[in-house]
Amino acid sequence: MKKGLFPANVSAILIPSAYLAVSILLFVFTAKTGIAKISEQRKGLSEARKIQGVLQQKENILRQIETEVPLQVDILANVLPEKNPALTMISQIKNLAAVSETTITTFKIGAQNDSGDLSFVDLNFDIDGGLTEVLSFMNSIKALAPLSTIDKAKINQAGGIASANVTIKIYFAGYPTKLPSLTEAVSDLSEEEKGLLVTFSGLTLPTFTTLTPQEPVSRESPFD
Amino acid sequence: MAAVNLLPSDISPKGPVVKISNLIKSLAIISFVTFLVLALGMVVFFILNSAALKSVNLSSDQLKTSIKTLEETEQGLVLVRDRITKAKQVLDAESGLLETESLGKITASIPLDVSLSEAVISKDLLDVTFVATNSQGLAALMAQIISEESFAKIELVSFSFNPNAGYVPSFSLKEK
Repeated sequence: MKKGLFPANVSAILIPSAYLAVSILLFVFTAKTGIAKISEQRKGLSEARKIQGVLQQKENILRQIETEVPLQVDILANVLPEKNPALTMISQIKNLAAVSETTITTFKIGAQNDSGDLSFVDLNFDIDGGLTEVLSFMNSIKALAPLSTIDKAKINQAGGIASANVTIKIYFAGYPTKLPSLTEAVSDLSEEEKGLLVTFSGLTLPTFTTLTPQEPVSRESPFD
Repeated sequence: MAAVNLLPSDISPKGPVVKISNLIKSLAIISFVTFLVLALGMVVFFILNSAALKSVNLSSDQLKTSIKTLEETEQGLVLVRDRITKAKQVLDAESGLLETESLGKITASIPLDVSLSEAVISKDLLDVTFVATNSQGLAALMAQIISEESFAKIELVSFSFNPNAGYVPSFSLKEK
C-alpha cells in the first residue's frame, strides 16, 4: 500500500495545524486590516460630524442676525467709512455749528495719513462764538460720525468773543477683502462689541440726499 | 454498531497523537468561526458607518447651500466686526477731548472777574492763561483749578500783573 508523504502520526498533527495556522492568519489579517479601515472611517465620520456641527451653528447664527446686520452695516460704514470722509465731516461740522450758535470761517483739509489698519486725514477749521458755545461745540465733535479726535486747538478770547483754531483727525479704513472659509465657525458679537455698537449707534450720522433720476426735458433754443 | 477501521494498524495514528490532533482540529474550527464572526461584524459595522457618513455629508452639503444663500449676512457680520475693532482703536487713540472737557468745566465755574485769555489744547496737555481783575478772583480761580480732580499735574508756568488788565496767570495742566 502506498504510504503518504509523512508518517500517519505526523500527518494527524500537521494537517489540522495547517488549518489552524490558516485560520489564525486570516483572523489576524482581517482584524488588523478591518480595525484600521474602521478606525479611519470613524475618524472621517467624527470629522464630518464636527464640520456638520460648525455649519449648523453658523447657519443658526446667520439666520438669527439676518435682519439686524444691514442696519448695523449702515451705521458702522458711516462711523468708520471706507474712503476719505473729510467732505462728509465738513458737512457734519457745518450742521453742528448751525445749532451751536457758532460760526465756522475756514476749512483746510490735510493730506491722508496711514497708521496700520487705520487711515486718517487732518481737518483744520476756525470757529468764532461765545466761549461756552465754542467749548460746547468742541465737546460735541465726539458725537459726530465719522469718528474723529481733537488733535490740537488754540482758543483766544477777547471782548467776549472766543476764536478757536481746531485741528481734528478724521478716521477711515479699508473694508476687509476676505471672507472666512465656508466651514469656519462664526460667532455672534461679544458683549463688549454690542456695547460699542450701541455707543456708535448714538452718534449723529451724516444725512445724504438721494437724487431721483429725471427724464430728459426739451430745452428751449435761446436763438429762436 | 462497532466502528470498522480498514486501515492497516501500522499507518493509523496512535493514542495521544489522536487526542492532540482532535484538539488542534477543534482550535482550528473555533478560530475559523471567530474569524467569520469578526469579518461579518466588521462588514456590518463598516456598512453602518458608511451610511452614517453619507447622511452626515448630505446634511453638511444642504447646510453649505443654505449658508451660501446667507453670504451677504456673513459679509455684513465680518464688516461689522472689522469696523468695531478698528473704531475701538480710534476711541483708544490719544485725543484732546478730555482736556477740552476739563477746560469747559473750569470756565463754567470761574468767577465773573476772571476770564479766559488763551488756551492751547493738545493730547494730554492743556496750557491755559486767565486774566483776573482782582486778587479775590485770582484766589477763586486757583481754588477752582486745584479742586479739579482730573489733573495729574498742575504747573503755574507764569504769573504777571498788568495794572490795566489785572493778574495774568498761565497754567500747564496735565490730565491723569
